[in-house]
Amino acid sequence: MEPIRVLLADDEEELVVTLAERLEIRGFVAEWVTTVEAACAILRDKAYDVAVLDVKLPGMSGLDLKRKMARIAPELKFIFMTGHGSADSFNECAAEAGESYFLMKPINIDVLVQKIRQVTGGSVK
Amino acid sequence: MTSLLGTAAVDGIQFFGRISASISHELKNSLSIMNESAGLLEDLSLLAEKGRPLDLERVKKLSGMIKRQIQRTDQIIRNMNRFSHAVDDPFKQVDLFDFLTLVLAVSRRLTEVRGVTVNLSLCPETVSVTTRPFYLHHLVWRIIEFGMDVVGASKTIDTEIHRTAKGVQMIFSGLDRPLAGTPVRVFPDAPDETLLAILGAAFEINDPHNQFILVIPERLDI
Repeated sequence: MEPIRVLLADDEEELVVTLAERLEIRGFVAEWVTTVEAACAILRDKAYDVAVLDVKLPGMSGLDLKRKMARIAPELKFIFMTGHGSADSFNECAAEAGESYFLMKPINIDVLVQKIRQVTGGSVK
Repeated sequence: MTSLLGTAAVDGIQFFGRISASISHELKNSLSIMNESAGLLEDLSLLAEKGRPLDLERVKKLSGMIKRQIQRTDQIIRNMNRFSHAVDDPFKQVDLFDFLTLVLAVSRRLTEVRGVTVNLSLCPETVSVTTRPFYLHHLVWRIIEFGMDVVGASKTIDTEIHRTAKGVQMIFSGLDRPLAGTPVRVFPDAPDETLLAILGAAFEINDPHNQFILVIPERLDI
């Protein structure tokens, strides 16, 4: 059984570096990017099962990035994470990815792992 | 003037809320990094208990990361505190360089998400003004916010302060004129005009240089 491949996108490099390492320890293949451009570029080269996106990335919202990434990789699943607790951002993301896939920072790694498994249907490629 | 202050106060509360929300976002980010760093230290400890060798260099790096984030959080909270106290004295003397440094610090996240960098040039002399600091902060933010809609390809706004015979100038450079068809609001609009009146200030566009210039009196007469 191949591991689930996760792409993390957040402009806080120290966050995605550590989060990727923690996911690797838990058996995932995890890579990270800190810009919108890098997120789209890496998707053209590599396949992932899930993208975990910050809701507000410099230059583009996570929602717009999600739409852009979905055009490049239609099978990709999405989970959003945010430190922005506004009702508006929650409603927007919940409408786009489902209420269950919107995590507030700081996130609980066990909850993230559970969501990744849920969103991929526990399946692997 | 009382009625102008009342109108501006309502907008001011919204502005205060927006900046506070942005600061809380920054705090959440630094807390998240500390959370993941501490979590990773815990993961590595558990793995070490199971026999995997502990990489001491990695442990040192993670500890350093947590320290840096504590310092960052401390600075964010200091800025938040200064911003919160801006409403304590409705009329007072401020050092404009310090003032603009704080304005840019507390709005950093809001400019970053637009992909825009706002720089402040060092001032060769201390330039102080006696003004209404909270309203000045609000107006400067509105200029930056408008500037982000018309910023040039470099996505950089440069700010500088000059003392002139007419008063003190804050110059915002790196701005292009709105492109035809771009949905950009008019500046100054009614809330901007209210703030300009409260501050006894004037707003000019320096066309050849793509600059916005805010002129404020060194001492506001109230």
